[in-house]
Amino acid sequence: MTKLIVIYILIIVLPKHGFGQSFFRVKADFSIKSKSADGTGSLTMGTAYYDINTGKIIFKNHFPEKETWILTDTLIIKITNDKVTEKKTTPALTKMSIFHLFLCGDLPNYGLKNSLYSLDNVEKDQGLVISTWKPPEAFSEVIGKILISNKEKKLHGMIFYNAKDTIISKQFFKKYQSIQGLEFPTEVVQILYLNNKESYQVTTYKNIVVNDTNENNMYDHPVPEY
Amino acid sequence: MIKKIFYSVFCLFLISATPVLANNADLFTYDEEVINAEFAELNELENYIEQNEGITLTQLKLQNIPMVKNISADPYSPFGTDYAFDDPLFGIPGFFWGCFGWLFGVIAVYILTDGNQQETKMSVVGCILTTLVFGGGAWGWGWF
Repeated sequence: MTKLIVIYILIIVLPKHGFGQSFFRVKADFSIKSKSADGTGSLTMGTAYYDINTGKIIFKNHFPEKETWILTDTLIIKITNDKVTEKKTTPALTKMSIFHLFLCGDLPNYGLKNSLYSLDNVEKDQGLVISTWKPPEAFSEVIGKILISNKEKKLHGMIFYNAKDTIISKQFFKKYQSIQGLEFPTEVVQILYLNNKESYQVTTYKNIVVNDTNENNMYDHPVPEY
Repeated sequence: MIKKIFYSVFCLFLISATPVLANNADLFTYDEEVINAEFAELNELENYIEQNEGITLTQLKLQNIPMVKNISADPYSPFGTDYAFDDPLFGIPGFFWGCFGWLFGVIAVYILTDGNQQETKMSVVGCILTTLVFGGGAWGWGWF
């Protein structure tokens, strides 16, 4: 009888508490380095906070200047010296952010699986699984296809095309770090192609923390009056 | 004779295989050395900032540090992207016209803003994003 109770507990309780862990927060130190085609460089450094429940991404920057950016599902807000210095409307970019996709486990397909992009083709080549995603027919004259490559089930690269089937951007996701069973790319290299010129952006992440229960005020950063 | 046939078949195989070699996997490559060279100065600056916590670009420029000579004072920012906008039509940004009005919203923005490219573009983005994220149910107010 005792054995039966133990087995029952294992079957009922373990899946819920052992495997059913949900991820709701991520925090990481970041640096965004970019180099434009004219040789000008830029560097932004700080700490990013994302809470899936509040839907806000907070960038607390310490370079080039000390300021905070808050990205919500409709707004981008810049705070300097505790005052809102800029406020703009934006689409729901937070849902397409690396933080959201990471927490939801949708990073391998960059969320395209749950979008209206449809899977057109899958091929295996040189150790990569390459999937071609095409936009809905109605938008095929506005936006182009996206190629996604996966290596060892992790997102390896993305290639974005315009409607004329020309590559406009490439992204590479590198140096994965395993955090509580989730894989986070600590380096993202982006190459932009514009007017036959290339510009580069490298984003690095470190000190990644998942489900942090401290710094609640940062994850749900209040928005001061504008 | 057999050798000649074998040689011909082998050549044909090579010719037919050539287009296969230029496949999609080759697209997922880039020259890491170029990137490393491009970012050498920025990496140096990043290390310097990590060692001098709290220092800002303004302070570095005042100190005339050569490392920041080619560093833009207007860095990467979501405020400068095409996805951030203001000056909306009737107080409603083009994005939401596209979101809720779908193609009719896009057309309305185009006509009422006299072809304002930015607003029309954002309405198209709204239209596309809503459709992508929420599917067909997003058309109209279905997802509220």
